[in-house]
Amino acid sequence: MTSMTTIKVLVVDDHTLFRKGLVSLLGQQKGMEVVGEAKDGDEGVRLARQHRPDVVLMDVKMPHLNGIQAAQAIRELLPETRIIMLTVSDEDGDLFAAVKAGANGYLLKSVEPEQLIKSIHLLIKGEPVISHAMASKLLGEFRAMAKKAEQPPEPAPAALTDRETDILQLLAKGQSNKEIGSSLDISEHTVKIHLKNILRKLHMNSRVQAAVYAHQHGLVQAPSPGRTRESA
Amino acid sequence: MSLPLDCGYHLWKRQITVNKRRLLLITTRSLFGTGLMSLLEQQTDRVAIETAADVRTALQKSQTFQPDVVLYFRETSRPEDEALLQELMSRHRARVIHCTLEADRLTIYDQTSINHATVDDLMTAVLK
Repeated sequence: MTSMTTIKVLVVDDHTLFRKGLVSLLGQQKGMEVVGEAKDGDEGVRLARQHRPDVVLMDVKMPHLNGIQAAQAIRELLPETRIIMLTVSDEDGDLFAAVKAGANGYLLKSVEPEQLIKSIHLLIKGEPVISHAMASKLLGEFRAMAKKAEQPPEPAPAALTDRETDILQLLAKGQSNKEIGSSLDISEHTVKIHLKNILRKLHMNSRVQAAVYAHQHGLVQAPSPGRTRESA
Repeated sequence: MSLPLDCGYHLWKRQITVNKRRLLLITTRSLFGTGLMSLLEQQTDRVAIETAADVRTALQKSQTFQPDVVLYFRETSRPEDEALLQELMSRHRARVIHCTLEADRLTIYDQTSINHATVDDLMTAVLK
């Protein structure tokens, strides 16, 4: 910070009337100085490098370099700079991407000015700021992650025998037990026994789950793009 | 009848007020609305401003305020406001200027649409 009382702020937003209004509002705040305003992510990164602001208020959806990419670039360039995403987007994806990119805050543009000013001061003290609605989403995601972590890990494909892997691959291609049996020259009954073992080893209840597992673990090769069906 | 000493000043002051564009701003207490208000307050030598939180309130206020221009600035459009805005236009022959955060477009009913409008665009539309 330049002094004990002045917070240097950079505003990055492509909506000119919103940006100008925000700059005008912040300019009236004691202890706050708007050091620059940018209309896209590229310009935002350039001005951040030039002015080294304490706080960047960053929109998410912008032309050229979007807000998430710009936040990531600024985080790498200026680790001390605090970044608040200020956006109309209440989509989970944008929120999580912003957190991953290193944003310290995520506020919706419907926030009242007093709340924004308070948030900037909180951020300077090192506290993260986030809109209530978005905080709930973030907590929900953490809950889901914690729940997943409590579950036993999925066994690796290596836990399956070669024959079981063959059967899983054919199953993932959509073949029935009968078709798998004729492909591998074994009886349908034997296929069923193998399948039962596969589901037990993978802690799964259905062949659909097993097929998804096979796709997720790269056991099924996608057809090569250049391959075409030949006419008889 | 003698006139008060400061009568000339008051007449001048009244004339100035009459010449100002009468602006009725429909907006919320959000960043967008407050920021816009902050910009317009820099133009108080040219505009007289009245605010309303919604179109229904604007309709009531317009009876006494008699706006030249109505600014409708919200985060998102509300379809139910459209008919009320039309009513406001027909009652007062006011120019309605519309802008939302979701669409970065200044619409000057119903003839002009300016994408990525600047403050100059806005003030030109207000003072025209």
